[in-house]
Amino acid sequence: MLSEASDALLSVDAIAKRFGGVVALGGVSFAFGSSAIVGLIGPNGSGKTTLLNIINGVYAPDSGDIRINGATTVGWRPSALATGGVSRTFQTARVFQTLTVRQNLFIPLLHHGRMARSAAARRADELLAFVGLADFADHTASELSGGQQRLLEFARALVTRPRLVLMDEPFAGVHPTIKGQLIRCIRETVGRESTSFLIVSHEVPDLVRIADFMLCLVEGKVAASGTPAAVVRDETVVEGYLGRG
Amino acid sequence: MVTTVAGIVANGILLGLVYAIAALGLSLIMGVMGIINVAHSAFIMLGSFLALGLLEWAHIDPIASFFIALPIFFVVGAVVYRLIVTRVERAHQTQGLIAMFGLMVLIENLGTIAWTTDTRVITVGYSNANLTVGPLIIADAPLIAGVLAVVLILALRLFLHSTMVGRAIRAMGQNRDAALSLGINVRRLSAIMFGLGIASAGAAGVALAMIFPFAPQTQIQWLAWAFLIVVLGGLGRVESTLVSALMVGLIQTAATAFLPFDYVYLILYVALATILSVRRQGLRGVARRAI
Repeated sequence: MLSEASDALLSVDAIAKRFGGVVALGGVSFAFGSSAIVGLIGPNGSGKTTLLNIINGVYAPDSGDIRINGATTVGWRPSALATGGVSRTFQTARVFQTLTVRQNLFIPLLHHGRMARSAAARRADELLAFVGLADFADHTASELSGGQQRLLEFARALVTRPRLVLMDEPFAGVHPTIKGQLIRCIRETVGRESTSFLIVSHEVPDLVRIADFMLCLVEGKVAASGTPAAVVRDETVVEGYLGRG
Repeated sequence: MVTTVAGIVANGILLGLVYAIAALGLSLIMGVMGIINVAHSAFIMLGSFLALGLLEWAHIDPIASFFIALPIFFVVGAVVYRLIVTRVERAHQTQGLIAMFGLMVLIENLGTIAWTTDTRVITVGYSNANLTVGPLIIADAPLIAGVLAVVLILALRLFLHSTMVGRAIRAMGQNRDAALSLGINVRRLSAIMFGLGIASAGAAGVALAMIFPFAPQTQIQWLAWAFLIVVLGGLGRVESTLVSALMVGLIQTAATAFLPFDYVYLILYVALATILSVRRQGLRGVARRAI
């Protein structure tokens, strides 16, 4: 546990999931509160993305419970979770390619929050300025570079002012400048909005730099949890994931 | 010769416009929702019989029936989505295909019970009238059907590209999971999209009935035509469906002008094979969601 379950924003309790005969998650538990950046690491196939998909409502767990601000969310659809304050980004940026950069933010705002058009436009422009894409507002998303699409997807995840953002490999293949910008944006969002982030990444040094807490999954179980410095030194993590030297 | 060519082009374009609305719903539903709606042509047939019924019972002209069909079939489409499609849309594509095939067989058989297998035609004042422009003679019925098709195509294009619901539908078509995770009501948008697809099928049925004879069992011919257009044009884009349908209309009209009707299908399918091999991406290009 990274936080007491009673005051946790996200509480994951003994989550298990099998795909056929393969155990993807074998009883994962952790919890954290608001304004936290939590890193989730582990080797390929350790269940990181499955866990994100279960928290996000894409998959239902076989057993266990997930609570957001104390309310059980198992069985909720992703759209209901989005309304409940959970948003996410994907392993490859899934922006709406043929829409403009502004429309990518505008449409979720109008459909999710039923916000007035003027307020939605203000919020979209404010976020585009925040992530450094204001000059590209009227470009189609397909014109952006891969890194810029990451920033757009990040901005889109923030439009509805979520309490929890799930990020899957946000730093993979991203230029260092864009990566720095993304890290700055994550930190500022935590400071300004008290949003928490659960970030899955293989870029362990980046996570160590940004995360308040870290979890390492190995074969569908939590092999270690705690501060980033403690987790990367943990014997099980070194043996099961990072390797020596 | 010039007059003949001009006549072929004019009639081919008009026919292509009507074919475009016959294929548009199929293309959009496949492109946005990934559902191969083989019952599409059954709704085209129902549109034709709606036009006939309204004409015989209420003396309503097919031009008015075209616009009456839109809301009726939109509601029918939304109900079919709610009752059938929601049960299969996230399953393997084969299940959706089987469900829609079952619906097609059901509608055709109910149509046969209701209207028998007799072939019907719609005859109104302009059915046998012609418009003469210099040396060019254009039949009124295809001209009116073509104009109605243009109105529907422009309206759909405008809806998808200029309204927030339309843009959200395009967003959903590009990435359903991302749309879901943003709180966009994908079910509602899918119901709207399916309703629009069926509405365009019903309206196409009215337009086709202005030009061609029809019977419950002939609906399958329009499914083949619609698939041909979708294969040529790719999925989900109004413009590409239109271009593809115009090509089919022009090829069919040209072939009909110079060859016995039996050869028309042969010419069309040879053209299809040639175009697909020239494009080189073949059927793979059809699977791309490009709305």
